[in-house]
Amino acid sequence: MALLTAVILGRLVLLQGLDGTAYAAAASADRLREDVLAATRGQILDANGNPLAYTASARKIYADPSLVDDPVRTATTLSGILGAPVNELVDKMQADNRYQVLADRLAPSLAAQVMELDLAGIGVEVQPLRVYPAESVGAAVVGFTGADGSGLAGIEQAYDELLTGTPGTASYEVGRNGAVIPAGERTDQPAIPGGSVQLTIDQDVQFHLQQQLDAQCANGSTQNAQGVILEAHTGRVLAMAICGSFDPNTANEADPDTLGNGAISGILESGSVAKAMTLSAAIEEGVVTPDDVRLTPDSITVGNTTVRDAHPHNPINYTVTGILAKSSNVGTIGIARELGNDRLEQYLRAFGIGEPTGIELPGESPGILVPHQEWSIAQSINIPIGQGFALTTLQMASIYQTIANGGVRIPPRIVDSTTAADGTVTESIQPDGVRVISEETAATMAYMLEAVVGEGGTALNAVIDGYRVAGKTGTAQRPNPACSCYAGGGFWTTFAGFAPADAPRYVMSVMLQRPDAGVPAGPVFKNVMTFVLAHQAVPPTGAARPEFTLIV
Amino acid sequence: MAAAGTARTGTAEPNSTRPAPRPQPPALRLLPAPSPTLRRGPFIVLVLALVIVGTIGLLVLNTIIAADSFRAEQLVQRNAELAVTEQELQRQVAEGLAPEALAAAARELGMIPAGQPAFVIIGPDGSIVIQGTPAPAGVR
Repeated sequence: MALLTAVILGRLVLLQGLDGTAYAAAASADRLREDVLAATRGQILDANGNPLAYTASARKIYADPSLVDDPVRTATTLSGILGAPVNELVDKMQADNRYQVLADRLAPSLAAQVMELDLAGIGVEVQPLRVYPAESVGAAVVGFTGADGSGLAGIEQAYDELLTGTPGTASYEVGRNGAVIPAGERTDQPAIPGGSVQLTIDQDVQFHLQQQLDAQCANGSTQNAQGVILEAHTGRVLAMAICGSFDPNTANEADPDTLGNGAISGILESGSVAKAMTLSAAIEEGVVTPDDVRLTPDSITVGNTTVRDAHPHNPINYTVTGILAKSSNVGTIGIARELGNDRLEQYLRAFGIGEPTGIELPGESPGILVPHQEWSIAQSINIPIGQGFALTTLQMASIYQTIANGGVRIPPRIVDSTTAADGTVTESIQPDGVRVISEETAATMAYMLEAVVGEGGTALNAVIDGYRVAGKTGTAQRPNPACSCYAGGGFWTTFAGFAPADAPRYVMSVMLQRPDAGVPAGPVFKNVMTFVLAHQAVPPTGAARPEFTLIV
Repeated sequence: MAAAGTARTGTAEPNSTRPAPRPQPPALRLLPAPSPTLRRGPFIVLVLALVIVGTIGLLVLNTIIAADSFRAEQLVQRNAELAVTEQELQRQVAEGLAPEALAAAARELGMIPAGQPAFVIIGPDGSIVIQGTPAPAGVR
């Protein structure tokens, strides 16, 4: 009797005193459930707060084939609601596993309709869905997300951490049937939703630019078209586009080659658009003034490289303004030889060639510019006219932003601000400007570039009725990657400029890649810039275009 | 007894060497026996009342908590439904605001892009300069 009592007492002490906490913990672990609370991904907005990307809660309808009693009848019932062919649904419901997704990305109301039918073996799951309401508008900038919801391109990638947020947890006690015990222990660690990113892009301008570029690519021969619009005095990107943009809602189905942002990752040789840099350097260094006269033949030969003007002509007494307005290669090369390769390289680099702008987007190319010590003779006469070094369409716009902004280059930026989940707004800081040329030289260049656009210049097709426009056309041969030579590579036709010429507000660069040089980029500039000036309510300055002396 | 003891020590002479006087025996008397019928009744009633009130209170509290939890569940469900509705409405708004949708809707209404505006510039002396060429939309 005493022995029995001792055993029972001993066991009691063991259970209650020594093992007790372990059993209590096991019991509470059995009752406690922990759910991960997903953090909602933040929005991406345009400059006016229109959503370009946000996350909605969608539904996924799945079947457990082992529980579906009549696949044909079930499929017939579902086919109408889900908009899927009956035989496809039947195949899925007869599959040899226990989970088959019948339809996803559905509106919750549609899923509710399906659940009301109360079909055996059919279930619904919540699915976070990234929605891009503007579809392809701004897609190259905004980017897209992968199946796991992480950003894979553009802003979605660059700001992935901010947009993702921090998932939380909810732990609570449940009864045997899984129902929450009302007065049970409950701890919540709420999810912190992702912050939002507001861009400097205006979706209306972006849409118009994309439409115009798409129209170019739709003519059958243009293989690529890119455009960038900047605010003249801040370097903020108003629009940035490539033709044939994908729809980020269905990025997984798009041709992978179309998913990039060529305006920052692709490089081109800009052709005569670059003459603005050569002449800026020559004027800033006091090598020439706009009214200096140069007797210009139609070809120049250095070593065994000959460069010709676009059209044959007898030697002409061009003014320096005339050399730019008529886009004389020979005249520009002559001035560049007076300037020297070292000083030319120094100015090209000051204009941002060869270094990334630092825009808040992944995959930016710095362009290609080899040091002048390594320039061949052919390069030293081609670089002043925009061949033999490469830049992005964004850098091309940045060159003209420098001139439009009184000689100060402001590295372009595309994020206006970010807003954390708690409402803290972080405005992007405008990068420090880089003084490239003096204000005086910039004004002189704006004057000379205005001579290009209009009577006597090469860019009559970029004239905007009522406004004064400054800009420059370009055509460059494109290297053929197959042979590392220019034969068969096709052409880039380019245009870069700003308006109004006498009080610049917006700068735009355009690039078209074509098998021939037959379609100029000027009309795209004209069309889009006209829209931008009206849309952004920029009045004409009212001043008349000055008279220019191009030939004496 | 205690009172008698105290009286005794109270009267004792501290330095006296005389033997203490023999203490008087306490006067004992019979107390009336407590009446069991009168004392136990209220106590049982009290305990019973406490038990009953406690039980009913617990029941009421439990019922309230359970009812609240049902209500909470209903509200959560309603909240979820409203969130879904809100989300679908927001989606419609976002889709309607998208430039492509706006452009299509405008075309359907027979609208055309405004094209290039012309401007009337009024000088300080009241003179009028027209910049650009005025023309109805769609002409150019």
